[in-house]
Amino acid sequence: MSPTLSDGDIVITTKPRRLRAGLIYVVSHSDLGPIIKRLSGFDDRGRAILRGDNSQSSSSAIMGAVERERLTRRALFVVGKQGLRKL
Amino acid sequence: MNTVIDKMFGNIPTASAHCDIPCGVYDARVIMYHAVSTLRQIDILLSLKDKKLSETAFAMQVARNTAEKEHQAELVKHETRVIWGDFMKGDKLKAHPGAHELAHKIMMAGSACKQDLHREDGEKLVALCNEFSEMFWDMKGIKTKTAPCPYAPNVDVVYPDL
Repeated sequence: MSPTLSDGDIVITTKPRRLRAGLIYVVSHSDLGPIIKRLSGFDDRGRAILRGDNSQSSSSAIMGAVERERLTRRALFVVGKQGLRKL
Repeated sequence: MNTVIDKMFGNIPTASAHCDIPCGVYDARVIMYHAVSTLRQIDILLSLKDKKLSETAFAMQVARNTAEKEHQAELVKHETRVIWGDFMKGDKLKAHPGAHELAHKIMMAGSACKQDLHREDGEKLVALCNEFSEMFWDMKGIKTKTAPCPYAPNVDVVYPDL
């Protein structure tokens, strides 16, 4: 998720009310465990498509389409080396 | 900073951004290829006595096929470990709780093929790998079919029905 997030950053999250493409979510992934990714959109079955913010990120194809309920938290702010930023 | 915040708010759950680029390419057909090759090497070794080779030729042939038998059996173990360790995890294991025991049986059967020269050891390895392959394709939601491989030793092999 570089450059948006760096290793060790603290992310402040909230319970998502409505899933919106373009926002960052904490995902309880069935294969990869808890991951944090940007919601790219939805497939034709309404499942979430995820993506990273850099070219080295796991591809959407690897992460697969994810059931909506697996997006457990929405990232609001990050506290990192550069201070507090809104996501 | 994590440590200070941890002290203030307790342990903070960690979410991975997961940038280690797993390739996501897994295919149990590789395991079947090596399992059948192991059995084939066992068959070749067992048939060498009937070939009326010179003592030197016999020794050379035994050395070559034994090395290949052990190499193929080790590849079965390696490829099984990769699929078991990297692919068979999370929710996939809920539907197939026997994956761990099956992978362990393949390790043992692969070692038996390396250690000795019994056709039944090779047959057992192929059978276990077929079971593992069926489990793997089921986890991917792909049906399988069983057919004799179109080359010696012509044993039944599980293939994905793509």
